[in-house]
Amino acid sequence: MSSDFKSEKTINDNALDPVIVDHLACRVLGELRETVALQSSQPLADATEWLLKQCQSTESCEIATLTEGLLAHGITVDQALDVCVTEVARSLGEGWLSDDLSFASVTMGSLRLMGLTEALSAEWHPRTPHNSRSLSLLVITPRGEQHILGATVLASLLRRQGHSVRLMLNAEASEVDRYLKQSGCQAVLMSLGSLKCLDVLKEIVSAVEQASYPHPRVVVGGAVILNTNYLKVLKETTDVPIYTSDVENALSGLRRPVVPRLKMAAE
Amino acid sequence: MQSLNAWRIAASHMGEPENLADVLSAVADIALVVSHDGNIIAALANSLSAPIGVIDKWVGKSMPDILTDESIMKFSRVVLTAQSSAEMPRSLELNHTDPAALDYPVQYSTHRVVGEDAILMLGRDLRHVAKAQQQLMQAQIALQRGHAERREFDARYRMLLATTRDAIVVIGMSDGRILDLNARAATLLGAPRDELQGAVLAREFGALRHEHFGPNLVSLSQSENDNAITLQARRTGNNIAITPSAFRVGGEQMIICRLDFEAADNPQTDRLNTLLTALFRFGSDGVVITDTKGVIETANEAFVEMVDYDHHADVKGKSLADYLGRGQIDLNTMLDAALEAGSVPFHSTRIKNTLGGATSVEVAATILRQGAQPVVAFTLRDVTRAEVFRTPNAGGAVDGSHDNAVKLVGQASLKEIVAAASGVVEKMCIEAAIDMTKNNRAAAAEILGLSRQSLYVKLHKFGIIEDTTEN
Repeated sequence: MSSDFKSEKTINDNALDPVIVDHLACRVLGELRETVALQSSQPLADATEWLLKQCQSTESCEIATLTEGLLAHGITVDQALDVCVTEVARSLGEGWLSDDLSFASVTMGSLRLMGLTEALSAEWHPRTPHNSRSLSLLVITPRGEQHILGATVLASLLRRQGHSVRLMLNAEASEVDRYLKQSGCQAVLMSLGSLKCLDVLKEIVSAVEQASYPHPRVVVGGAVILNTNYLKVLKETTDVPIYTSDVENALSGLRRPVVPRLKMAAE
Repeated sequence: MQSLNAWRIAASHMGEPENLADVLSAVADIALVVSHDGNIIAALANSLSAPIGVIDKWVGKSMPDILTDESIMKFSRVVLTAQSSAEMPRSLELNHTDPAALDYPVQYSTHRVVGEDAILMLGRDLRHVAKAQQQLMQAQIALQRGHAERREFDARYRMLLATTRDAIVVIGMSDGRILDLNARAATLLGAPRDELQGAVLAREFGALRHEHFGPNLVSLSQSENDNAITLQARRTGNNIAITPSAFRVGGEQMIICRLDFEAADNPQTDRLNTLLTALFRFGSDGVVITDTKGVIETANEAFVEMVDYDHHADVKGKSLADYLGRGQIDLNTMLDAALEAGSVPFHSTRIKNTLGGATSVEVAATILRQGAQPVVAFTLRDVTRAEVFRTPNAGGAVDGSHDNAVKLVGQASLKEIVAAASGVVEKMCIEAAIDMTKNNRAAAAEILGLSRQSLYVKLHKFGIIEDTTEN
């Protein structure tokens, strides 16, 4: 028995005042109510484990079978996309880092996750109509960026939140420029794994800055900002106002009014 | 033992180092000798393989200079292993960077160089796998672009169907089944949209068979004069004028039917309607109309203020559960009870707003079955101010709890206080669940995450069983 109470002894044998205990319990309940997630996470864990096995399987695998099998665990589409896909992507990456998975296995697994994300996101969501808090967003991976799953999952999440999202993978600056002239959007969210595509990113940022007023705001996220050296280079070489990989941070940053920056006379 | 000897003999016949280099460069695409501090001492490429980057310039460089970030970590582990007596990894995949090309993967086997602080790395070029990956990725991106275009088109089509004032039904000519319809058409036909999807349209107008109905619609669509036919809808008894237009898509003939309600003169402008509308708009209680799953169809200004949104369009289409303190549990409890009894006169919970705050409310729910499909009307009353009068010592709860804790400490050991408090918590939760579910113990057990048997045991334990009877 390794209880914290092992060495304690009863202070006295008086019965506790039930009213006082009630009040204390109310306080405990009040705090629990705010913090404790009461939903069971077991089906989600089972679904994630199942999906990881399917992604590592060497057998051929239909995306429709994958979709049905995953949802058969009793989880929602939102959970499948926000938890299972993200967790499995992380596990695949870790598998390669520890040399438990080959490059080819990770490639196949990632493509299956991409297909699954597309299939699950394809559903029309009348429950999340465009409303006054919704934003028009352009989600981009610049040309040459190898990590495209994160942007796909992000686009899906934002759509399910009711935002209008255009996903542009492997995007060139000219393509972004054309899109902004035709459709316009409130923000451009770019996902990067490394600085390999820094030049393309700079071209895209420049295209966004030249877009008609009000200029869309730019957010850069992805694995690149986890590396402090890369982040420093990005901040030094581009004029991007928001760096974050957290969706809520990005959205609250976008909803804040733009403070005009004063340029130095020498600039 | 014999084979080991054979290898020894082979090794001795290799003689000069250049012979060994020939062998290594023949069996591997890349052969590297790397010191324990990560510097490349020697590098060879197989002359028969496709040329790899600038491998001849690798000698003297540090391995991390030619690897991607994640591969540097993997390589560091290999160096640490080589410096220890642990077994070297049999297979290791590393990504090389090349300023002039895409990163490319190489699968290495690693071996200690006996007598030297160095590692021999024999690599198999995986560029063909990387190339296949690139092609698959390009195909995936092309597919994604196709999906995006389709999604855009889909959105336009669905928004058109949802917003048009016309009631629209699309049927396939081969079997007469409804392929798509908008909510307005569903209301005219008198059934939920989901139920009508896939149904035979002819059957929605009595005993008509599609074999006659379909061709009639086609010939009607080609008629130059009056191309509408009026029929009585089976479910509502409404007279509906059908205006068909035939078209072909993907080899199949389809008919798009516009339905028009032929209304009797029955203007709904009486005083009660006007007053009720004003109450909905200007009343201080929140009013929310949802479908039977709790998805909000409309809400009044008072509710929109409670949840701190700007406009009622912001909540439309969302689940009411998103705003309730106990989420889906609150919603299900009210919906189940309302669907069974017709209404729920009182349910106490909290409404969450977008700023993270919460307001205590009393909710009443009523099923309205006036339209084609039932809806649920919720009225929500803010009871924050009322609670001040109802709760003894209200406002001082937090301080009171602190006092309670002060009074308890010293009266009993921490273990006893926690045990007593958890017992009270358990009893209160069970009572609340029994209360919420109107004494439906199966539902209460589900909410609590207990088996029914466990719930019965606890009901006995806390003496609740005598006061309650199973529904």
